[in-house]
Amino acid sequence: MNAAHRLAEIVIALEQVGLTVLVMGGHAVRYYGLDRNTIDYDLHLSPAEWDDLVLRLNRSSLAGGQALSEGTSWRPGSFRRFLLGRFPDGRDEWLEFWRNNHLLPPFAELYGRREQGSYGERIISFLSLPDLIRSKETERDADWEDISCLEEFLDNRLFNQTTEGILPVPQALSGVRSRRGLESFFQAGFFKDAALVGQGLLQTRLSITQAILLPFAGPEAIAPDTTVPMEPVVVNRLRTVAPASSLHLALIEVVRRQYKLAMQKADAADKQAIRAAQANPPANNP
Amino acid sequence: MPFSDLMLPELDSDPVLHLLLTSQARTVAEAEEMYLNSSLPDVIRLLQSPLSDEELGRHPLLEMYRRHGSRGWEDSLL
Repeated sequence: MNAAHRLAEIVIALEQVGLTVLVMGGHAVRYYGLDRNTIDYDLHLSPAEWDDLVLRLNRSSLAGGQALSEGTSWRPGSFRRFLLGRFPDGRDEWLEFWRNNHLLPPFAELYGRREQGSYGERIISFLSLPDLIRSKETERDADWEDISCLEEFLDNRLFNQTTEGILPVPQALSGVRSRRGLESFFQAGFFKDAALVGQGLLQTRLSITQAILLPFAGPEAIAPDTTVPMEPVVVNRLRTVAPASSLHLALIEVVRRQYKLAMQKADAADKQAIRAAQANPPANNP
Repeated sequence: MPFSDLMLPELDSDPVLHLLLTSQARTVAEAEEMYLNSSLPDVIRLLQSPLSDEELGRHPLLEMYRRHGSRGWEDSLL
């Protein structure tokens, strides 16, 4: 049985005991097109089912009549993992559940925009591609390597939906974040109408996308505050630089790197706060 | 005498070379990544300089940003 079939088998087993999950992590990355090896099953569980998780899991066909052993978690209120078995090469096979992920919005919102697709010859629910990218904005460089590919896939989808007339141009432009995406939209002439680019600009708070759009939108275009602030000197230059020029492309990368560093720092700070809280639990601090 | 004292000033002024010669980075790629992560003040100084957009676009630091950034059409996975 290959990895995709095994994942599908696991999800079906969970659904049979009433557990609602969205696939994230390595299998979601594979589903969206980046072929890579993964041995973990990384799932986001509906929080309503969190308290019953062990009970239902041990009732499922995955347990085979024996209680699954639970591994340690350094986010016990948010993350649990269970040992399913061992692969032929001796590595452990872990099933991992998130109740709430610090990088993502609430489950109901994620579920509302989930993507369902065929994987392991079953229809499986995955995190949407933008949410998957968001879940990868961690301190780990390997996750950012995934992002660099996933954002090309996302931009390619946006481009295809725009050329097919399914997606309005401003909405598509508000999601572009890769250089490949910029080049696709540029060559197809989608940046020619500054008013449409301006509408796209108004719909995004991502600094990377704003850095892509600003030179096309004209010097007076209004841009919302970004989630990670851009340096005013950089923003001012983006408003006047020739679109798609060498300097424009370089400034996009300046903004992208500052965004990545800020998100890595935020993720590291979150982990540090958890470690600090665990080292000094409230009971020890009367 | 510390190794860093033996370096020629012009070598020490190259931030990537400095990272390599002081063993803070093992490869050129790693040194460039480290430098880029701390280079925002240098970028701002460049943008505030009298250099034209064309000259800035050809500047080694901004070329390095493009080289380490998002893939273009020819290098894309798609």
